[in-house]
Amino acid sequence: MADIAVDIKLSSPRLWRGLEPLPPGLPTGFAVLDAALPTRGWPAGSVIEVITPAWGIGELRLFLPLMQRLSQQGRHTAWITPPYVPYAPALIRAGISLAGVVVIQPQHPQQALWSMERLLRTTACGLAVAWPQQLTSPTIRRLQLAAHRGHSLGVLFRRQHANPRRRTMPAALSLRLDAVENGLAIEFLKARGGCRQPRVTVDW
Amino acid sequence: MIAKPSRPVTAVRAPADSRAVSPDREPQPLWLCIRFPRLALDIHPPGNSPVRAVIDANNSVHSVSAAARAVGIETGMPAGAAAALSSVLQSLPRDTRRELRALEQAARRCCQLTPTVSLAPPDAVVLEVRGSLKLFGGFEGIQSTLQATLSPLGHDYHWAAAPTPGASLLLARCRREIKIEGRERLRSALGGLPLHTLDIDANLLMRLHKTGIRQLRDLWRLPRAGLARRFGPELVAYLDRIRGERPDPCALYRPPLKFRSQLELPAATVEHATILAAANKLFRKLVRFLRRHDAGTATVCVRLFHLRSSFTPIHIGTRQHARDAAHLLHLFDQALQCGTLPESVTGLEVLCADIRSFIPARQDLFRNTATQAQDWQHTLDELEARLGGEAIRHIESVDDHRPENAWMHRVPTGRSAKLRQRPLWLLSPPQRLTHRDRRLWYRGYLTLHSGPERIESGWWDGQDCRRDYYNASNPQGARLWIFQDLKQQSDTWYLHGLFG
Repeated sequence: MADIAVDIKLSSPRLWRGLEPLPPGLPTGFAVLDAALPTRGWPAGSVIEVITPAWGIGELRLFLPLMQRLSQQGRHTAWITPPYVPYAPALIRAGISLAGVVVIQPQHPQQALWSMERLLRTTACGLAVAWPQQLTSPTIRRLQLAAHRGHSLGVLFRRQHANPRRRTMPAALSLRLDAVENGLAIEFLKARGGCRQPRVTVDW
Repeated sequence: MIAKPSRPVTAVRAPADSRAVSPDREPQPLWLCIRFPRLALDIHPPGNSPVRAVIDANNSVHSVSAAARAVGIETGMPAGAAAALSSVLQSLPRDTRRELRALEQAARRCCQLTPTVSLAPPDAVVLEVRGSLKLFGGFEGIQSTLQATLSPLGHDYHWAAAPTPGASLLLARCRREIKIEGRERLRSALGGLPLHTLDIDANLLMRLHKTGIRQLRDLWRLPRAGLARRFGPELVAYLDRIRGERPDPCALYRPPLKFRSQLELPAATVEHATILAAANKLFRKLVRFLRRHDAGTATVCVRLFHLRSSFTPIHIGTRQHARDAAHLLHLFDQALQCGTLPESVTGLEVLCADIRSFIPARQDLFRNTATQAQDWQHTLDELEARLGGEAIRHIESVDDHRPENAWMHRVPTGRSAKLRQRPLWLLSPPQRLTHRDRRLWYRGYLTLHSGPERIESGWWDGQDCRRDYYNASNPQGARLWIFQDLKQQSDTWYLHGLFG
C-alpha cells in the first residue's frame, strides 16, 4: 500500500526529483521490461551493453520489436561483426524490412568500432548492434556521444568472462542476461536514472 | 524499322521533313553509309587457322573468313555442316557487345567528318555528309579522309551514298558502292535490290516471297493501299522512309563524355592537407564540368603521381550519381587516411569516365526523409571508402526450401512469402554434432523441443538434401536449430542455427 502511495507522489508534476528529467525511451515491446526501465523503454540516444553467457539464448530476440518498429519508421539497422550470418527469412518473419539492414564485416576490430561510431552519428541509422572483441571505457564514451548526436541506439553484445570482477562501463544501460525456462532473466547492472527492479524475467 | 542504336539518344534530327515539297531549291541531304561486313569476325584476335567462322546463338554460321569461303562454308549454314567441311575450322562465338563497341569506335572516328553520325547495328554507321562536302574537297575528299581514318581499325568496309539513311544502308548491304543524288532517282536505283536486304521480319519476307515479289522493283509497282491492307501499314511507312517520302529520324551518336584534369603540386609532399587542397580544386572543376553537362558521376579515379614510381590510383565510388565536391573530397580523405603513400606526391590527376545524366534528390515538403536517405547513402559511401566494398553487405531472402540457400548477400529487392519459424543466426556450413552417452551434445546435453520439420529439396541442382529439423536447447539455455541428415546411413546430426 505504501509503495503505491509513493509511486503516485513520484509521478506528480509538482514534485521536484533532484534529477534532470529523462527523455522518453523507445518501447522495448515487453511490458515487464518497459515497466522496470527508468525511461519506460530503451534509452534513446545512448549505448546499451548486453552481457550474455552464450550466443543464442535470446539476446537478439530482445531487440526484435525495436528493430521492427525502426524498420516501419524507415530507419536503418546496422549489424557490425556479427558472429554468424543474420538469417534473412527470420528477419522477414519478424517484420523487418531487409532493405534497411546492412551487415558490416571489416578486417580489423578497430575499424568495427569506427564504423559503429560513424553509423550512430547519422540519424538515418536507428540501431547499430555490434559484437566487439575488446572494449575500453573511452571507446564506449565515444560511442555514447555519437549515439546522443544521432538519436540512435547502440547495442554492444559481450560474452560473460570467467572472472566477474570488471570495471564499470560508461554505457547508459548495462544488462546481464541468463536463460530461464521459456524466457530470459535480465539483471540490471547499471541503468542511468535508477532502476525500479534489479531483475526481471521476460517470457517469450 | 531501322534498328535503333542502344547508346543513349542525345538528339534526334529529322533530315527530310518539309523539304520533300520543294526538292530543287534546297540541297538534299546526302547520307553516307559505311558497312563493315566482317565486323563479327574482325573483333576476334587472329588465330592459328585462316579458316574461321563466327557461330551465332542459333548455332548457324554468321560470317566466314575468305579461306573458309573457299572451302565452301557459307553464311547461314548449320555449325555442324561447317565443321564437316573443314577439319581445321576455328569456330568463334558471336559477341554482339564487342561488335557494338567496335562500331562505336568507328563512329567516334567518323565524328571528325560530320556531327551527324548514327549507328545502324549490327555492322553499319550512317553519316550525313552534305554539309562537309566543301570543307573536305568534295565527295572524293571525304572518301579519302574516311579511308585514312578507318584504316587503322583494320576493318574492311563498303560504302554507299544516298539521300536517305535507309537507302544508303540497303545499297551498302548489297555492296553497290555508288552515290545517288536526288530523291527521284532512288526508285530506280533501289529497284534491282533483292528483297532480303530489307529490315523486315522473316515471316513477312516469306509472305512477300510467296506472292512472287523478288526485288524492290516489284514492291514499287504494287498499289500502296493494297500493300498496306495485305502486309500492314508499317511496311508501306518503311518503304516511304527509304524513298524519302516520309521523314526518317535517326538517333545521333554522341561520343561518351570524359573528364580529365591534372594539377602539379608546387613541391613534392606527403602532407595530407596539401594533397587534399589540390584534390579539392580538381573536384570543384569536375563538379563545374558535370553541372555544365547536366550530369553526375558515381566513380572517380584520383591518381597521385610520384617522382620515382609512376602513380598510386585511388578509386572513389558513390552510391548515387551525384556532383557534390564536398562529399567526394570527404571520401577521398577517408581513402587517403586508410592507405599509405609509397613516397611523396608531386601531382594529382582526376579522371572520370562514368558520366551519366544527373537525377536530383527528391525533396519532401514536410518531412526530412529525403535528406535522411541521402545521409544514409553518404554514410555507406564513407564506410565503403574506408573499409572496402566487401565489408558492407545487404542480405536478402531467396525462395528456397533449403535453409542455406534461402538467403544471399546483395542489395535487396523482393521479399519472401514463406514465414516458418527460423533462427536468427545461421551457421554456414552446418556444424557436426557429437554424441556423448548416446545423447546429442553441444556444450551440454541437448533436449529436443519441437519438430521434426522435413526439408527435402534440391535434387535438380545436385545439392539435394533430406533433413529433419528440430528445435533444441542445451543446459546453458541456448536455443538451437539442429537437423538429422537422412541421406547418411548412421545417426548424423548437425547444428544449423541459433535462435539468438
